[in-house]
Amino acid sequence: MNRRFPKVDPNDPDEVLVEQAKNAMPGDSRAFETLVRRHKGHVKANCRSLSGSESDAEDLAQEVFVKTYFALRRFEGRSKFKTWVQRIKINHCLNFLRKKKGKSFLDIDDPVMQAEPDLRVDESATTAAEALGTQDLVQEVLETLPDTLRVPLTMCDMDGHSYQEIADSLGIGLSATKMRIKRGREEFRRRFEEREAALAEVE
Amino acid sequence: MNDDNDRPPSNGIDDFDEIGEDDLGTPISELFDFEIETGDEFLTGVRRRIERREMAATALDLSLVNAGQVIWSYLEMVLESLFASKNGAGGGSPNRPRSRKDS
Repeated sequence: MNRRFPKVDPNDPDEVLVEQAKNAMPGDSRAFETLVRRHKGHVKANCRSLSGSESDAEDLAQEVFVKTYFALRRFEGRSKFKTWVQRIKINHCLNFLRKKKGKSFLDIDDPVMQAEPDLRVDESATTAAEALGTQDLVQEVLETLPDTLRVPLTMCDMDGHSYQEIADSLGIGLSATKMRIKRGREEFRRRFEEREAALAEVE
Repeated sequence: MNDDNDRPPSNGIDDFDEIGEDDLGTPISELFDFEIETGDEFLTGVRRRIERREMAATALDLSLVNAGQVIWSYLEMVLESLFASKNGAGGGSPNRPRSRKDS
């Protein structure tokens, strides 16, 4: 029993845990860790979708929570905790993508991208014989999409951001955002169905 | 308000003046509604990272405090020296060489 610290109920809503985490005594990270336990699965899945990289997802998600921890005292609760973490996660993942590419990932105007937006598709991936669960399949297909389509699609359909929020985060226009989401959905469905059909044939 | 009017043209590929909600296709949210299984090692990793940052911040604070103390000691010495010379007490530090004016 820890008598020094007040009780933390893992079933408490986020708002209560956030207040407890903000007012926690030095060395008492139980409330914050309860929040991490609650949101880690979604944040990690989202980091994987945004980055398109399974190997980087854990690192990215852990860093998101580290940033959350150090910024927690400044969180005023005007939005939901989950929404606030989503914002931290989006910024962190976009920075990661920019650094990784050595330039802005918003390169849909790049002549090469215009000529062949599907450049990054690894067709050999579609012939893999292993049976995959739906989640794995979704992630695998997402990873074959170019950043320019995958990121807005993930932000919209996974995180539920508005078109305007996505446009602002990516620094592109509203119509461009909508177009990318539309194309992202179409392209995702096409590749997902192709991949499913390929797996069915193997089985 | 915030619209596309201020944005540079994007060579046509993204230029769709009016795209209605119905034209955007069906959301694939139902496929995206999942979490990745993450074990306790994830939390341990977060904890370690936080501890490392806090240790680094503490070390930085200590070095700033030390630097502040050094600067303050120096300022004290200078002020003491100035004060002593103004009062004509022989000029601050006993090690200070005597100038012609002192004699």
